[in-house]
Amino acid sequence: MIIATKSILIKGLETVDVDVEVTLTSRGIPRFDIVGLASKSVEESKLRIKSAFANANLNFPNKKIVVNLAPADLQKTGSCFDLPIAIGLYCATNSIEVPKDWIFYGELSLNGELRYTNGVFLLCLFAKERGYKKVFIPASSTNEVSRFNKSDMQVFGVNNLSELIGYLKSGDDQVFSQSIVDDAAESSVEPVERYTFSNIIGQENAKRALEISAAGGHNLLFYGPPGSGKTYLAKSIAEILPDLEESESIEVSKIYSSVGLLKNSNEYTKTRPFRNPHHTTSYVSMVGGGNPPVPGEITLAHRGILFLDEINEFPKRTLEALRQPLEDKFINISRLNNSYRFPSSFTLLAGCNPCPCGYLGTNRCGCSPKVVKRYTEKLSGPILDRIDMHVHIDQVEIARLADFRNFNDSNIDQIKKNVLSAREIQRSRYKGINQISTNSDLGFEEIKLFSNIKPEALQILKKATSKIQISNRSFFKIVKVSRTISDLAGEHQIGESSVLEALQYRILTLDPQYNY
Amino acid sequence: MNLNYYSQSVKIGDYYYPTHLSKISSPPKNIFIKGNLTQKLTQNTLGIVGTRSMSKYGEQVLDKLFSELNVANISIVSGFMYGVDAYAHKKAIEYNFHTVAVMPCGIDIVHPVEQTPLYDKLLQIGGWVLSEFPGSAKPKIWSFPKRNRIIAGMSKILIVIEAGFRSGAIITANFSHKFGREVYAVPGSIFNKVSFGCNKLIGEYAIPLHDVNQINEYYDKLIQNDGSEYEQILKLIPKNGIYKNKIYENSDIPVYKLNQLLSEMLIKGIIAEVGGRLCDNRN
Repeated sequence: MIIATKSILIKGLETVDVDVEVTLTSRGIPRFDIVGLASKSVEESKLRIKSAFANANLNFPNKKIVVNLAPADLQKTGSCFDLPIAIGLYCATNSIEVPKDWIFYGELSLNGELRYTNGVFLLCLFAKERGYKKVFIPASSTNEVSRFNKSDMQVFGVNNLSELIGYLKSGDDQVFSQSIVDDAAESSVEPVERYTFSNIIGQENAKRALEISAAGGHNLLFYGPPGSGKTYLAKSIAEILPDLEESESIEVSKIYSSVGLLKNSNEYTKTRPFRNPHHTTSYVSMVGGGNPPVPGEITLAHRGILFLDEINEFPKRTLEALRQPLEDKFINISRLNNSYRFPSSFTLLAGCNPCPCGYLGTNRCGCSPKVVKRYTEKLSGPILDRIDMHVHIDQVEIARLADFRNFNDSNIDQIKKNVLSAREIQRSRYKGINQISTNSDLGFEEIKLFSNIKPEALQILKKATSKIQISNRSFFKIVKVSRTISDLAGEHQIGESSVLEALQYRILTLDPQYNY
Repeated sequence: MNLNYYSQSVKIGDYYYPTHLSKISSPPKNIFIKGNLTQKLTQNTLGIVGTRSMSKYGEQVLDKLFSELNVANISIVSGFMYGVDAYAHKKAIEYNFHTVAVMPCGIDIVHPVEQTPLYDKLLQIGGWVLSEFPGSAKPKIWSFPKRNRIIAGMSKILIVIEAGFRSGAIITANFSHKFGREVYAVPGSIFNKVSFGCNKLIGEYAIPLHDVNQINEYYDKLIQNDGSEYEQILKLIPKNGIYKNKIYENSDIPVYKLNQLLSEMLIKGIIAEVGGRLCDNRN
């Protein structure tokens, strides 16, 4: 008799339907084979299953066993096939039919318990889409499925193999200690922010820049001496970012589930991701890769923030690799047998020093102009091109810091409200336009269509070009940033004041030759 | 064409009396204005004068001047004669600037009469026709210099585009100079008769006009928002310059407003930016 159980294979962020067929033959020497391009991790499930059977007091059939993972031409990796194979084996031995609309997923441990398995969220999305009625997953993964409704399907968190076997025999869902998990959604705890806006003393300009960046999704660069608070400022943006929308939240959860980062939390149901890779991060872990390819930092920062501290210290190759994803909002990783596409729509926040010692412009700086030039040139060109706002940060006077005990900036609620309404305005403006959700996504064509700039404001820009050096590239950035400033103020047209303000966030180079 | 623009007599001290005209020594007590008196547009006045027989060069200069002129609420003052005057009015109409034609005759006469279409057009778009002489007084040989005096008096600055060696434009320039106004002259070829006057003026007191931004900047420095906020910021900027951040820290003005003001001051040339630091740029 052939028993077929259903499961899935996760390929990048896509899910592929897999039939796990099990057949037993009495003739021949007993052995256990898995076919269907099973990789090492799948092959090893034989031993886990054998041990799990023994510990669940089940008889392991002393027959010739063949397991086929169909479609057979797809490379299978991962430990998630343990459960479907084990169930298939048990049912084949005891001649029990498994309904076609049940789906199994999970890794077994030697004692028969189920372990946390990556990708449960993707499984449930798939099951909902294809109309599976019952989904069996490891009990330790159930926090990932809190989003799904009971009415869509029944999700069972399985603790161990014997629990599930008991259910197969009796059909009584009381056997699960933790059967259906859909009321966990409300229990998600608000994460405690360590980096808060209200704790920043001074730095009003940087805070305003963060507000604009959060509202319009503009990439932002902070530069200034060490210890001036660039990192703290950048991290505090998390506090004013709007919550994820439902569709965005699903995208993010998919990514995090596939790499197993949803374990023990459902943090990303609402909060936007904030990724902060160190500058020693390799090229591959930044953009994604490996075999099979896994998402890199830029994908993990999808719909959130990618913060590159000390951006000058990153290898050139890593930075250059960011160019395409910054533009296209996704990255394609091609391997010999397959090509994977990972989303990467993130806001880039970066911090850097103005020179190698960091104190350019003060008496402490001993860097020669040549050294400074080499240092800053690392950032020049295409990457700089994609950063809309440049903000110089300086040390706050100690006298102001000394007053820290009385400090509490109560503006934060207003800022949050402004950001939210600005996002709302942008959403309705860019409704139905592919690839554009915020002002920072605007291309040349869209700027023409949507910027709606007052002639007077344009005059100011024209005038400014004669006084301040504005390159072609920064011209359009200023328009984009002023669009966001107008949205923050709720203005329909870009007015003079928005342009004037935006002019202060343009690219600026500190001149090493200037004698301070 | 019957245009219903009524003429009005405006006394010195009246609201619509041209601002700068009242500042000259012995200004006319009474002037006549024909046109749309709903807005006073004689604050940023720019006088443009020149020869009747304008060369191609003069035309090119005016084209360039108007395409690059970038001053808020500017009004172009000229004498409605052939050549430079007429072309300046035409250009002003084309660019939608306010324009004032100062007549050597009574306000109800079109002089020269061939330019009636321009006259009508000028009134239509809201320009003014202005004269010292009432009703239908005929132009006389002595009324032209008097007209030139009004042009010079009304204009904040004067530009001589092209002028012969002895011409009305020179007379206007001399008046302007006497009134303490800046006079710009467009330098020209020494072989060109209608550039003689300009070149001579440059030798005397006029500033050679080689870049339209000279004009733009002049008006920019005149614009004061109300001054007090600028003063507040300027107080924070020492002679050797300062990073923006120090200004943010030491000022009570909200940061978004401060950014706007800093940009404004940069554009107007009140402050300058050197190597990331802001410096006081006033003389």
